Amino acid sequence: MSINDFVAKAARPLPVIILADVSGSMGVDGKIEALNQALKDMIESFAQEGRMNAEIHLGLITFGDRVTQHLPLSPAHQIKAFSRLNASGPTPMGAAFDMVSQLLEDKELIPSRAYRPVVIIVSDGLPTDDITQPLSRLRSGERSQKATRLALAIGSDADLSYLKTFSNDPEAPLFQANDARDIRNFFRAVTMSVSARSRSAKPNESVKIEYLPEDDDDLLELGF
Amino acid sequence: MKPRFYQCSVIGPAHIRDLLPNQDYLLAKCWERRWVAVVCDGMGSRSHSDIGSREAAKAAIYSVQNNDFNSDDKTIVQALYLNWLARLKTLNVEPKDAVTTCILVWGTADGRFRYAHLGDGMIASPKSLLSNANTTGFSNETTGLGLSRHLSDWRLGSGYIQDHGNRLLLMTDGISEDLLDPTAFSQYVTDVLLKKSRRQGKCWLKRQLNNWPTPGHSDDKTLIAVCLPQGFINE
Repeated sequence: MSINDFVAKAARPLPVIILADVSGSMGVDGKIEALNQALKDMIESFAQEGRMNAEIHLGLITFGDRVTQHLPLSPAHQIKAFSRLNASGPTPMGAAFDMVSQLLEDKELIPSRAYRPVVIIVSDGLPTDDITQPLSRLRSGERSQKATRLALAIGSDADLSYLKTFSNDPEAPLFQANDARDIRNFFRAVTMSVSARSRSAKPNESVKIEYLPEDDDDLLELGF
Repeated sequence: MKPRFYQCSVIGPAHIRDLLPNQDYLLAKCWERRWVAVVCDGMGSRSHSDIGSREAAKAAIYSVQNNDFNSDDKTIVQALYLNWLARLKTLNVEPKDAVTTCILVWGTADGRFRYAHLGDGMIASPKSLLSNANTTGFSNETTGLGLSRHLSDWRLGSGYIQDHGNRLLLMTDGISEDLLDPTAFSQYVTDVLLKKSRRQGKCWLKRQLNNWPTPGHSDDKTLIAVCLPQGFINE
């Protein structure tokens, strides 16, 4: 017997939960394809991240035809496969808020030794259910209020007022994506920020998200 | 009967990397028929957290030594807090720059003990977990001296050390947050320590804390084990 028998062998979790709008409108202009690719890339990046200072846990809640945990919250390096998202149905954002509130309040799922979670919502439309009460519960819950909340509004139809209210990061009140490429760029920036946090000696401290819409990384710098 | 204290504090890897001092502090002592042990953990983001924890430990000892064992909780906590503020004023340090947790346990020769605990960290024994940080939030979200203004922020209690296997452990969160089973940990650690002299025990503790098995551990780690000799009975 040794002290190893009584001490956690895994680094403290750094939970990241994505709330992804998969309503019918996400099916146009290549948005759902871009989201699928962005999520796939994010999972692969997180899985490759070292687990020295923090272990990134990733969960994906989708809201469209129904609200479901497409990827239950689990260590990123243990996620074996990602089944692609399909866009259809309404935008039950309120039900998604309630589901993420439940996850954040669950001390079995997210222990108190975990670092402050990050919740990211990605949506291109107006909610089709009541979100006032669910959002209020998310913002005032004993634990859920402590999570960092980020929002990405896609296109001009997204409900900016609610998404602004969702975000609680003063440095990033609301991110906006104009097209499918921006969605990928946003996820890339979030991935870099979370990865930097997981490598940091102080994983509870936010790392700025370096995202610029229309940041065209295909553009060659040719000087003319 | 006087307890034996085994105590150790090691600087965390993150503080070594950042060339910061150990922000934990510990003190333990016996006098006449009483004893006291205290561990404090300065909040890492504050510029004088090492001073905050050191002065809090001294203030805690002062409070217990200058009050009757049966003094009410508010008297003890208020004396501690005011003494800490006075010490900081002498050092020209603002309380907000020296925020610190405080885990204080004090007792008498007949085995009675009391505790006062503010912020992160833990008091445990081989029999039970006596006091743990409020687990409403996530890691490293603490309150402490310099932030708290209410007695209700403190976890307060009392007992007989004989009901706890004659052993109590005070730990900062660098240790407590990584424990799978605090009571089993307390049993194991004190079983090992009681077979050693104080000096050997401290060396063993230092090795364990410096080679902490949790990946990515970064905090300072501080522990005091308060152990009464085997077979102790009420005087």
